[in-house]
Amino acid sequence: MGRAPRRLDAGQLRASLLHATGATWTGDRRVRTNNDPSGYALRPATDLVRHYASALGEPDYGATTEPDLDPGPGFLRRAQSAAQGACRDGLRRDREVPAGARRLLRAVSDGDTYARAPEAVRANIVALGRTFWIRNLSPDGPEVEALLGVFRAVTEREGALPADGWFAVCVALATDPQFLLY
Amino acid sequence: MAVTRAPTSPCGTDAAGTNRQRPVLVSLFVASLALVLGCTQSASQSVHASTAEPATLTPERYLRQLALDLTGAPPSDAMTDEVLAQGAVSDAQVEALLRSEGFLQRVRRWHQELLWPTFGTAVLRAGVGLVLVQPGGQQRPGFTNPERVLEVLDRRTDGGSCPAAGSEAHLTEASCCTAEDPGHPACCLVRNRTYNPDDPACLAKARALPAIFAPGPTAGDRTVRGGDGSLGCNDRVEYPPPRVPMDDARFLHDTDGRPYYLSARSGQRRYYYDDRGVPLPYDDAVSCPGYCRALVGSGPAGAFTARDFVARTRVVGGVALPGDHPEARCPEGFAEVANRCDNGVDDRPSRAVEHRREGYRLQRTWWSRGHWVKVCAYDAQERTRSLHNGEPCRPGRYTENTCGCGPEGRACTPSTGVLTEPSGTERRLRESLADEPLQLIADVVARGEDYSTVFVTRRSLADGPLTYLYREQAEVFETLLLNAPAAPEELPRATSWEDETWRPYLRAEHHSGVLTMPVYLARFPTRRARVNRFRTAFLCRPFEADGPTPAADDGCHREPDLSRRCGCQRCHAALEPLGAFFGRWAENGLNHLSAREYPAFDPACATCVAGVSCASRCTYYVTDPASPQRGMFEPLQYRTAAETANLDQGPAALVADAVAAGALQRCTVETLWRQLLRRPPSENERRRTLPDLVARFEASGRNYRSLVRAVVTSPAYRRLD
Repeated sequence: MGRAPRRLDAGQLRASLLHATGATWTGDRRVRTNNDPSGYALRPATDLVRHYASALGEPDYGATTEPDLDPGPGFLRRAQSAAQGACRDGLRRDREVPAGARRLLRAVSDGDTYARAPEAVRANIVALGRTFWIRNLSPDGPEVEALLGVFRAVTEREGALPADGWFAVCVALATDPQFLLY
Repeated sequence: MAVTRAPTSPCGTDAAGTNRQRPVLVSLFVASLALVLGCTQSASQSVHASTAEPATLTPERYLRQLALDLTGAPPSDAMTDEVLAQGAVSDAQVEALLRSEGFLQRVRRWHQELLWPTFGTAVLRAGVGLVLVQPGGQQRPGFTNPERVLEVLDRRTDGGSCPAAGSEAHLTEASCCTAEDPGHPACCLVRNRTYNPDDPACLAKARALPAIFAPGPTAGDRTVRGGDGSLGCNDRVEYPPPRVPMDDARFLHDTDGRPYYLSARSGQRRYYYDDRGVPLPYDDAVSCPGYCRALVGSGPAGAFTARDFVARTRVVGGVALPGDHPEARCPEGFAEVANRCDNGVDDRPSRAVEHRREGYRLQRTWWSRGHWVKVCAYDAQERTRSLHNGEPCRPGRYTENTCGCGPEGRACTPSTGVLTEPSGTERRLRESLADEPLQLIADVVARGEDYSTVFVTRRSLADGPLTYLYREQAEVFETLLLNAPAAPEELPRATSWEDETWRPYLRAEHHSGVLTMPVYLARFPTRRARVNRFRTAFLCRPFEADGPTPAADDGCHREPDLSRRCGCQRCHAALEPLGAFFGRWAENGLNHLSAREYPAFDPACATCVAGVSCASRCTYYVTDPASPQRGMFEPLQYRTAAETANLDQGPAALVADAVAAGALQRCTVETLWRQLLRRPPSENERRRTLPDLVARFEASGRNYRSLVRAVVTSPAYRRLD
């Protein structure tokens, strides 16, 4: 017998998103407070993995003492949102940092489309396979072809930008079982 | 390796490689796992998985698994590149992961799952809760947390135009600070990058914000100010300290430095404090309004009762407003009474309307991060002993007017006013207390010490909040009794309350690793719970009753000793003697009950009447008049002479027994196995693999890191299941 696979816990999800995209899942959230007559305050840039820790299966050691690592619908829904948030912020970050520090646009420039730079797009998907899944994807393999299909399906629509395609690829990689389980 | 189970691959195909039907959800889940396990590659791999030994992880998958398990994060790009280039994970790379800070974080996380370190919804604070004085002096729900003052003091806005005076924005808007008005509160953060307590503008900013006080029936000043217990001070009037320097021209004062003012109401000299240094209410119509008394008392023999007193009122827009005002009048049948405006604590029937409010003092409290804040003068009192009875001041316990929050306000804590919502200060303290055992565990592992040290050492670590709590606030810690774990000189030196550095120190002799830390004692509040958790989590021996329980009407149920009572004895025969190891630690408390202070027998507790004449210390003694053991230290009840020794040996002896029997070592190995393999060991592994790991653990001097290394480099960990 070997090791039973498990899904990422909340902390591992945050660290994995940060590693892969350069960003974590953050957003503005209304939180209860006694500092405001309304009883609520808007907390900007809240760490949403922490905010939703309970929904992501983290125990509070009072009411719940065991982590819930079931990859069930509740977790998958949050993981989808986390992926979208981190991918959006990661792409924004990539546009602001030097090329060498980019996490998502590693082998392409902002304006590269498949029609203009097919090899760069393919190479970028391979590079993303390394950071998201810690795997060497074959440039001609079925996984790269599938992700390329996602990129092209999005970017070849009227008015779409390459960034829209990378967003879709990023979310696909970050919601794949190869990312969420280990 | 012999294959004994049906030849099914983890890819959902049978030995012949044909797909089998599964329910849709199961198929989806299996498909997900199959992707993870790399089973989508080729039919040959599937055949390999189904007919031979389970497949070994590829190096890169092994690396990812190792990094996520050992550091909680994926491997670095550099490490990934190295492994992909060399086609294997090297010992040096495993070692690098085991030596990382992330590894210690994971060790903490794993032990969190064993220790459950939380205080739940218990209120944890030093002394009483502080809230903001509301306009008019009356507390209202919401908008109460004094930490809000710090937030405004640290705020600078750059809106470009100065808002009207009286608003909060007026205090923070940089454009309000002009050359003509360099003392404006907004200049505080125009002239300084951060709040500067020496800048007059920063003092002005503090003066412009609400004052802070401790409301409620347990606050010492309740009987003085009057009202319903939620009346704050007059936060428009600043009080000097009880004695001012002779050269201080800001306040009038006697030759001995006792400050006074000339009352606007009477024109007479009035002192801020009485001759003992206890604040006096401020003599004006706002702080000490006149009120009304019925012409005839409604009590026996015409005595005045609370209902004979009402406030003066005036009607504005159809609404009756209470309080002193030139237009305010008493209702018919009532006469006006001049407020004596003194600080006597007698229980006056006029208390509801005879308000007597003092002003505020500017203080820098333990929680205010060096900022000046306005503290109501009764609460700002710094003495540590009551002037009435000489007892230590305990503002949360005793009602009296000569005790405030003490030096640096250490006996009072900012509060949201809602028990279930801790303030930032309360939350920070709660986090530090919950983190305390995890810090020790990480420290033991980082130093490579014997793992059993975690449960027996006197050493602990403290950060800023814990250092301050143990040094200055243990005596006033509310809800749960607490003794400081060490003498003040033994405690580490934190740079401030906010100090996040954990520093080691040595606790008193009776301490025993994580088992005597506040969060463990609070989370498992009884002797039985404490032993049960230790046995379950660290010896893998939970108490499990077996066999039927005798009928409910069986006389054996009347046996008072649980270790002998029928049915109960199956667990309690073992549990009760073990519980004695925690006998010197108070139940539902965090304090140690030393043999010197709590001897085996207390004659006073043997003769007192529980709930009537027993001193609080008798809580720890048998006081049941029907018990032949009346007056005995309660944890000794029903214990044999041999078991009695467990009390004074403490939890360390319980751990020593477990180590000597090898139970702690075996359980540590099994628990780690379950954590990393995500499944219990098989029977075969229990017979062969685990004993080998236990032997290696022992041989390493019970080095936890070595044990982790042994598990993650074992063949089982590297196999696909």
